[in-house]
This record gives sequence, structure tokens and C-alpha cells, in this order.
Amino acid sequence: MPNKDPVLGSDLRGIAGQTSDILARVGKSVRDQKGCHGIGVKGGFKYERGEPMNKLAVLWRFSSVVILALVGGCVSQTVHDTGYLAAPAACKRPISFDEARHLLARTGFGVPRTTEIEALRPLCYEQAVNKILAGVRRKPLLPPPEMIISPGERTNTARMTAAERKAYNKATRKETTALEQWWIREMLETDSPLSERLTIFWHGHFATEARKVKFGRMMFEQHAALRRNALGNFGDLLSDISKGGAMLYYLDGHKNVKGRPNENFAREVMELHSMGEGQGYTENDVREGARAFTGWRVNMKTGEFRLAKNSHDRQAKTFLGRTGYLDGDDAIETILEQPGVAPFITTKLWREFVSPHPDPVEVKRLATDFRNSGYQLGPLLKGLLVSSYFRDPANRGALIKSPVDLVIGTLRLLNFAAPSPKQVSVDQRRMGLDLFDPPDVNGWKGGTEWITTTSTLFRRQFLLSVIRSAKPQSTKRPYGMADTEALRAIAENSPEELRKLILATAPVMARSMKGRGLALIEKLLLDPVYQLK
Amino acid sequence: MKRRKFLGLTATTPLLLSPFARAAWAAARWDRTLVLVELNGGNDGLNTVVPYTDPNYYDLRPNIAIPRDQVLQLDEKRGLHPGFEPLMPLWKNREMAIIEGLGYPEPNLSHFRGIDIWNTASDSKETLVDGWVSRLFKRYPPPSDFTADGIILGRNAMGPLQGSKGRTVSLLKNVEKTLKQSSRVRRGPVRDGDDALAHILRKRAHLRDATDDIISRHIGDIDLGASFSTEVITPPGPSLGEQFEIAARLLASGVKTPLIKLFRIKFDTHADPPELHAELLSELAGAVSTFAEVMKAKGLWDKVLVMTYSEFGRRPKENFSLGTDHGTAAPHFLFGGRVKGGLYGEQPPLDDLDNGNLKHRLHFRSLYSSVVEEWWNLAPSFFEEKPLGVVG
Repeated sequence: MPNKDPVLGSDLRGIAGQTSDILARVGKSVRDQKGCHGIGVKGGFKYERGEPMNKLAVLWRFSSVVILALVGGCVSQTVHDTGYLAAPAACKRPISFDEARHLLARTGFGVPRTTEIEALRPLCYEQAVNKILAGVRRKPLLPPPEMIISPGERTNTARMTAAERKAYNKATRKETTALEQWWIREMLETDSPLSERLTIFWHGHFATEARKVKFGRMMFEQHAALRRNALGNFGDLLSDISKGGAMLYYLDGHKNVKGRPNENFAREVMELHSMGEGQGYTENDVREGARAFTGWRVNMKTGEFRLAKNSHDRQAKTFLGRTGYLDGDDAIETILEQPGVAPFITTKLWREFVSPHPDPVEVKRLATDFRNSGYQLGPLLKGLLVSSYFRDPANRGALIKSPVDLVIGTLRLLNFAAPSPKQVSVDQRRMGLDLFDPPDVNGWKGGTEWITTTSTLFRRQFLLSVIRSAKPQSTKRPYGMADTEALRAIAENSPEELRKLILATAPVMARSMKGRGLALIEKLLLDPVYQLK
Repeated sequence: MKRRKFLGLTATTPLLLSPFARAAWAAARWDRTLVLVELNGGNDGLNTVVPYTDPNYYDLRPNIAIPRDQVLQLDEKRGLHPGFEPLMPLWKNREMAIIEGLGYPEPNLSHFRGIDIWNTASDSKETLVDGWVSRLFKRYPPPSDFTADGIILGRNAMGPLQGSKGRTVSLLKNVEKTLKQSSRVRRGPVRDGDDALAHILRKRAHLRDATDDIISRHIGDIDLGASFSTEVITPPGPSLGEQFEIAARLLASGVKTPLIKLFRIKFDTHADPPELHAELLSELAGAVSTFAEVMKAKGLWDKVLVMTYSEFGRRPKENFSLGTDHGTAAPHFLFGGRVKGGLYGEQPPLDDLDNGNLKHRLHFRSLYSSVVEEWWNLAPSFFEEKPLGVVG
């Protein structure tokens, strides 16, 4: 497969392929332009199926990156070393049905489609992991909503009249709704569920709320950055998000001025984004860090980063043991040098993908490799997915499905042609997950927090509605039509095959194994074990 | 019938408590219910308890101050917003306490962080996962034959019960429908342990236990003897009238729970005409007044304590949108047959502001101490702050 970059995705149309050629010709490995922070080469978002970018423009943009790199103005890491995806040396036996199901359920939306399982069956376990990781996209399949691409301006609502503010808030809510429905469509259609899972994971990790940011374009740019770096380099991810308009607005970075520092961002970037609550930093580091970040601003029109030199504190600071005339980039760099970062991120990914109880010894081993790799997320996630803790059959069903897993996973499983994104977003919100609006700065707490008495009811009501929509004789179809051929194909499986497809472990309700076909599918979906992955 | 009910109250004593804690648990007033009302958005305290003789008040709020001739005078300095008219009989009967100047050091002006601090009773810079009632009930679990450890109305905001492994049940919009749906949830086997499946099955059991108990009491058939105004003048609802009616039906039917939490959105009056705040206060006052009437008729007024709270008060100076921005300290209210009516705390002076904000005079945890010690008779010094002597 020539020219197929597994991390960039199987789909190499557009600029990505062209740029590798260009850079190969100048004898350089692909360097990430995002490594050149503050130099002014800001990679804008281009969607893959869109009009192909003018080749001259591509050449211009990338030659400028290379030139800057050559003059030494930019220390960047090699992006996405894909060596970790090389074919495994030994391939003893093909993956079993149950292993493939577990791997797909955990890297996807809680339950796989039969076709997804079949696609992995010829492979051995490590090859299957490689295939899933290689399928991760850096860009979405679907074009973003028109209103987000069109230019607008983040306006200061404090200076508006009540009527103006009401109209502005209404318009931004409309943007959020459009973004949310676009993302839901992407999740329903994607061939790489892991791309979506990672993007949601980082969205919760670097939580910002559209209801405070109030500018769709900033939320969208942040979303694009989360997606772009989801399985890339954590340092780039941290830096891109920290300098994004959404984060600057959300954690009051735009109010952080020399002489009047606002500590909100400096605290959260350590507490929530990199090191963990109270781990390896002091209140003094928060104060000094805030000084380093003074002057970080957003361009109100484009939502892009800019440095307001007059607001920046140029005096010496001591931050995390380092003293000097530190600016915000230096502060991020210093944070990344701290030993607590790798274990913090490793632990969080473990909880998301492996189990609620990270093993301290294994975390330490993986975190050491993660740090030594210069924070490459791909090898880290691979390490988690091939670990014996992940593969242990006793670990199946140890995690609770998020609202996205439950809703998107079920609709994909039953092959609904085009469910209403609006209905999906209502369902997810009722269950406690509002895309682009996590509950607070901490993101979604997840795990057992997903299950309250209210969400128990809403989860059940959702499953009942889906089942109703799937029934051929039904007159009420809140999710539209399911592909009846595909559904029939699933329903023809034996009861035991259906059980193994739909549930992670044995059902707890005695009735769940009674009946056949759609009637049996209904009982399996309503079994409490279906809430697990 | 549940086996525990045969064995009487002693059988419901949690076995894991130390002898000392068991004695404390046994002395607790589990027959009393706290009815907690979250005024979401940050209630404008200064326009609720009005310093109507202070010229600073009228200087700071030239457009939105409550005119002197409209306040309901409490004493020579303070008056209540005219929307509180329905509460005046309770005030005169000394069944209403006003606690002024509640707040905490280094106040946080974010809605989300602010309410988190009030819900968890943390310090300003401290992050706690569990709500303060969750922590209390972890030490002293309510009797196991109770309907629930807490019942959440209005919106699924757990408040001080957040992070709770306890038996909390939410009855939001359309209680009848919720109860009907719950009755169809299959219970499944309950198992011990901390794993995901055990948690899911436990929540199903909590839901079924609580709703089965509530369904068996036919709360819709109870004659309250008074009618709540349930109209939603300021959407979105549900209104406090509707929620207090549910609370009254639950309690009158014999539902046992130490906490019922109510929720009213819309207090974030940045740019709303003063009429909106007036509507909200009238709604609160009308609902509390009817609730008191019903509870008295049912002989339960001594068994309930109504308490308001909110993430912060609002800025003394009005803004350019004829509203007020996020602020700090604020007054809150207690109602009930056991309340020692009157004024507590102190109104923060308007000529001594911190960055334009009020300086709090009383830590809000003093109020919580009163609930823990004076109301539930549990855990002296659960909080550092001393109780106020406001409940008898």
C-alpha cells in the first residue's frame, strides 16, 4: 500500500498526501507545523472531501514551515512516528470472536456491528489493534456546518443591551446546535469510531462549555484541534488547546493582564489538563504561571491566538522550579518536563479504555515509555489495548457505557439508515451528556456517575423507542427506518450468537435468553448488562 | 412486606458504626425532613432583604432599587421585597428566620464553581467530590426502611447529595409518568460490590424501592385542603408551586426521607427587568406559604424545615442592562414550626465593598451546622463553624 499513512487515515486525498511528497523532496521528515507556536504559521482546518487546496498555496504554506524550521526558529517534534504500527513479528492465531468484540466495543461505541467483527477475524490480536489505530482520522468525514465557517465576531456581551444580548445568545446557541448535530452525524457515519471516542475523551479532558464561550467558530476550532491531535503528540495537543480561543475564553485567559493576573487558566492547566489536583505544583506556581500566561489573547474575528505584548508580564518568574523571563510557551514546556504528566494522562486513558482500577505497576511502565517517546499518544494507547489487563476476559463488561456509547452504538448496531441527530442529542442530554457543553471545568465524571435513577429511566425509554422504531409493523418511528435487510440478517443468528454479539457478559435477567429474532434482541437490549462494555 | 419492617427501628441501625456513632445515630431526628430550595443563578439578596434607609443602596441602584414605600418593613433598617407579602404571617408568627450576609472567604463568582462550593461545603480553593449531606449520610446512613435518602424535584441536580452512593431518587417533570415508567423497570438481582454492574443494579433497586413505596401511597389522591399555584409565569418551569405541591403530597402521604430538594432556575438576573425578579420571589413566597398551610393542617409543620440557598448573591451596583452581575454574600431563609423566627447574621455594609462586592459576615457552613446539629441532631462539629441556634 504505497503512500498510505495509517495515522493520517486510509483516505489520503487532499493536502496530507501532497505535503508528504513535497517534504519528502526536500529531504525532511514530516514536521508538524503546530510545533512552531507563535511563529504565525497557523494550520487552518480543511475538510478532506472539500475542494482540493490550490497546489501553489500548499507549496507556499509548507515551504514557509520548512524554511522556518531550517532557520532554527522552530523546535518541533516529528509527527506521528508510525513505527509502533509495524507488522507484529509473530502472529500465532487469529483473533477470537469474543476478543474482537471486546476490542471493538471498547474502542468504539460500546457494541460493534457484526461486519466490524468479521473484518477483524482474519487478523491476529495485535494486527487487529494496529488496524483500529491506523484507521483513526485526523479530520472529519463530513463538512462542518456552513454557519461555522462563515466569518463572524465574538462580541463582548457585557456591553450589549438586554435585547442585543438575547439575540446574540440565541445565535450562538444555534451555532452550538448545528455543531452538535454535525458531530452526531459524523459519529453515526464514521468508519473509525475510535476517532470519535478519542475526540470526546479529550473534549471532556480539556473541557470548555459553548454556553460560556458563546462563539461557534472557537468551539469548532477547538474540536478540530482535539481531533487532529487525538492520537498524536500530547505536548502539541496541550499547546494547541491552551492557545485556542475556546480555552482562552473559557478560563478567562483573555482577562489575564500584567499586574492583574487571572489565575483561572494557570491553575486548571496543571490541575485538570496535565498534572492532577495538587500533584507536583504549589499555589505559588499557580500565581507565577498566571504571570507567564499574561497577554495570551484571541483574535475576536478569527478566534485565533495572538499575543498582546503590552499586557504580557516581562519580569522574571519562578515556575515549577524554573526561573527566568518565562512566557506562556515556556510555561507549557516546563509543565511537560514534570514527571507527573505521563502517569496522570496514562491513568486517565486507562480509566477510559481499560477499567475503573488502573494497575499502579503497569501504569508506571506505560507512563515511562510514554514520556520517553516524547508523549506520543498512539504507542501509549496501543500499550493499553494489548496489555493483559485489557485482554483479561474478567475485564469484559467492567465499564459503564456513556450516553454516546448507548445511543450511537445501538443505532449503529441496528443499522438505522439516518436517525434524526436532533432526537439523538435530546436523548444524550437527558442521560447527562451534552456535546460542546460538559457540566463544568472538570468535564464528564463518567463511570458510575452516568447512572442515576433518572438516567436509568431515560436509558430504558431510549431503548424502548429504538426497538419500537425497528419493528416492521410499527407506526411510531422516532429514529426513522432501520435497514430491514441488515436487521433480518442479525436476527437470523442463533440466540447464543445474538447474546455474544449484543452483551459483553452473560445476561442477569432470566428472561433475556427467551425467544428468537427481534423479540430476543429486544430482551437483550433491555438487560442491565447491555449498559456495560 | 420488607423483612426489616417487622424488626422495628433497631434492625435498621447500620451495623458498621462504632458504638459512639451508633448512639449518635439512634439519637438522630430521622423523623425530620429538610426541604431545600436551590435558587439557581444567584439570587439578588439586596433586592430581597432591602436596606431601605441606606442612601448607598439607592445610589448604587438608581433604576432597580425597591422604593422605600414599597418594602415590607421588618425593622428600622430592613424591609422585604413586596413579593414576599404572603410570607408576612409566618414572619409575624416567628416561623421564618432571615440569615444575612452568608458567604465565604475568597468568593468564587462562577456559577458552576460557586454552586459546587455551596453543595460540597468546601473552601473556596478546595475541590470536593461529595456533597455535604452525602458525606454526613456516609457516616450516618438514614434508616434503611426509609423511602429514600433524598428525593430530588424540579431538575436532576443532586446538590448536597451529589456523589452519593446513597438512595437518591429524582422525580422531575410529570411525576405520574415517572412513577409509571419506574414501575415497569425490572428490578434484577441486587449484588454486593463496587463494580459497574452492582452499581447499575443498585440504582434500579433504589428506583424501584422508592417509587413502589410512593406509588403505594397514592399521592395523587391526597386531599391537601389548599391549592398551590402551579402556573409557570417565568419559563422554564416547573414552578416552585408545582414542586412544593409534590413535596407536600409526599410528606402528607407518609413518605419518609430526610431531604427533599427543589430547584428553580432564572435567578441570574443580569439583564432582566426587576419585574422578573419580583415574579420569582412571589412564586417562592406563595409556594412556601401554601406549603406551611398544608403542613400545619396535616400536623407536619414541626417536622419540616424549608431552607433556601444559591451559588452567590449579586453585585450591589446595578449594571447598564438594568440588571445585576454576579456577586458574593446574600441572605437566606428558613421556615418551619421549629424555626426560631427572627434575624440572624448581619447585612454587609454597602460602604465597605471588596472590588464592588459585599464582604460576607457569616460563613454559610454555620447555617449547615444548624441543620446537622439542631435539626437532625447529628454529628456535633461536623463543620468547624458553630450552629446559629435558629432551630429549637
